[in-house]
Amino acid sequence: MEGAAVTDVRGVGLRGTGAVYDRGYRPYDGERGGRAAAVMALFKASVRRAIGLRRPWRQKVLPFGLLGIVCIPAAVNVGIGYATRNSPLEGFSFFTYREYVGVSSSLLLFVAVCAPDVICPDRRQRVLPLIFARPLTGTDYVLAKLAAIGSLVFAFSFLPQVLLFVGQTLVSKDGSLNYVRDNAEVLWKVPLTVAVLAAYYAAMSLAVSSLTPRRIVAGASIFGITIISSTVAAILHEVGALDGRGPLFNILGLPLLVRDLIFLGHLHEDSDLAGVTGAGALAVVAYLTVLGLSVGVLLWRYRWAER
Amino acid sequence: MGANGAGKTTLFRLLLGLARPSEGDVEVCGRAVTTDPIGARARLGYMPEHDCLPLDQTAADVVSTLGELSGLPARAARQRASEVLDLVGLDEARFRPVGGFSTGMRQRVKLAQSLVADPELALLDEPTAGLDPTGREEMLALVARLSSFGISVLLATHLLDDVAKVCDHVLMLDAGRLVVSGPTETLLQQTGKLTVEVNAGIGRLASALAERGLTVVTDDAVSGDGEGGTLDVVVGADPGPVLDTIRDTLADLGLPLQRLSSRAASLDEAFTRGDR
Repeated sequence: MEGAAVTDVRGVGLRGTGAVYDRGYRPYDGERGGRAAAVMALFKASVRRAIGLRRPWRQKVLPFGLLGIVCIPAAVNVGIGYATRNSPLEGFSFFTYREYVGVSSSLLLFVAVCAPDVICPDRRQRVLPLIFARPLTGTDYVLAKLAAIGSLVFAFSFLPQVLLFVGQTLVSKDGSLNYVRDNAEVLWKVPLTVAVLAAYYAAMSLAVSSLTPRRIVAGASIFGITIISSTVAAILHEVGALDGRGPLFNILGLPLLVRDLIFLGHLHEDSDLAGVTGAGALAVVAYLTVLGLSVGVLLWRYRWAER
Repeated sequence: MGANGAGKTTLFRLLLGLARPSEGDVEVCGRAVTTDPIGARARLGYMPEHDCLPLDQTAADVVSTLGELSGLPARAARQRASEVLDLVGLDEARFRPVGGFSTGMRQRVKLAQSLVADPELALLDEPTAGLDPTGREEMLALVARLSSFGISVLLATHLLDDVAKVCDHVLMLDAGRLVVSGPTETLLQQTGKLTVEVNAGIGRLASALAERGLTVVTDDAVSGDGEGGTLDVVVGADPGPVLDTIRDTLADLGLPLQRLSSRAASLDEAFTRGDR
């Protein structure tokens, strides 16, 4: 670890800082990581920042408040399941696992607040030169930020599902093991779907945020783009344009279409695209296009540090 | 050294591998920056001129996070952050948000973050920018100590006084061209003038030096006999006899000497000489 050599312990005149105990300078000769360590450090710092750790309590209210809110339906569902056990209503459920994955408005609010917060201040407060003076590249920066927001969105979506699954397992009339066996498919469908949503929301929100140094503008833009796209999609759907494929322009709805494909193997019959030829494949293509464009925008914005 | 736009910051960006040279190669600490910028950056510390600190984080968090980004393990980064903040005189303030810091304190945090990973070479871009005279002296004192820690320093500034106090070699840039390169002492001696400052009798001193054959340059505004002030004395290639004459004159007149030094050249003078 650190060397014991202590050199030059002269004092330096200092104003207004009270007593100074100058312990000199100790060279560092311990372990040093490379790019991977730098990416991990940036990832951890971004996660901390997004959820308000090491920050005033006001910064913690929204992320943890939203997490609490999205957990409420699961808690209520489990509570009702417990209360109605051994009654005619036994087995009643407000929603399915598939439906519970799509709490899009909550996810949107979460990323509209957190994504700008982890990326805009670096540009606005001109921290980027300090970051890129370290051993990491623009791609590393983008990777760390994507991983941070993606992980948080994943956790934000997955924890309520865990609560729901564990709760339903415990109150199941058929016994816990039977419930797990009967619902085994959600053990891979839910994580996969949540990962699909997390990657999409993280990339999209960070790409928009990277275009402005102001958090409020970024947050409003994320909402604005989704609202505009959903409006355009609704209009196209109403007028029957593009052979009924207008809903593909709904940015907010695309990951939910992919969710349906994962859970059901086809689009849900309530979907605006139900019955449209090749709609499932088109939904996947549209999803990947938005995802790819978002990552491309991010890499382009930080290309100057790409060496 | 160089005026605004001379290319000092661009040089730093080249050394950090954040800009590509239009021609030639850059090597830092034995690493070719053009082919291994990551390896070069791992050996460098960088203190930008402009504001660059996250204002809502504490100094300790800022410095330790940047230490981790430099590759230090988390625990070591926290310990190093504590040590370097202590070193720059922010031991008591390190758990306060940077947004509440004065300009001088922010400069210290910027210096601390450049040192947290114990670099081989620290690139300090205008470290005294925006500081009052006392703060400037303190910052320069800190910078002057770095060499004793085994850290080489490349200091970008347009203030010759800063260079004279802490640097032992000067590179002077003008519009991206290297104009002057040499030891600081040599550069300052080349100004060809000595500055003499006395607390009283500046007029008598000027007259006496002129009578003894020296070429004296005085400011009319401070040349009253009873007043203190400064004057410049032109020296040749060998300043020894001139220094002796000044010493003897001061002793004969019984004047209190405040300062006797090589007169720092203005940037324009240095550039003019460099262009020759």
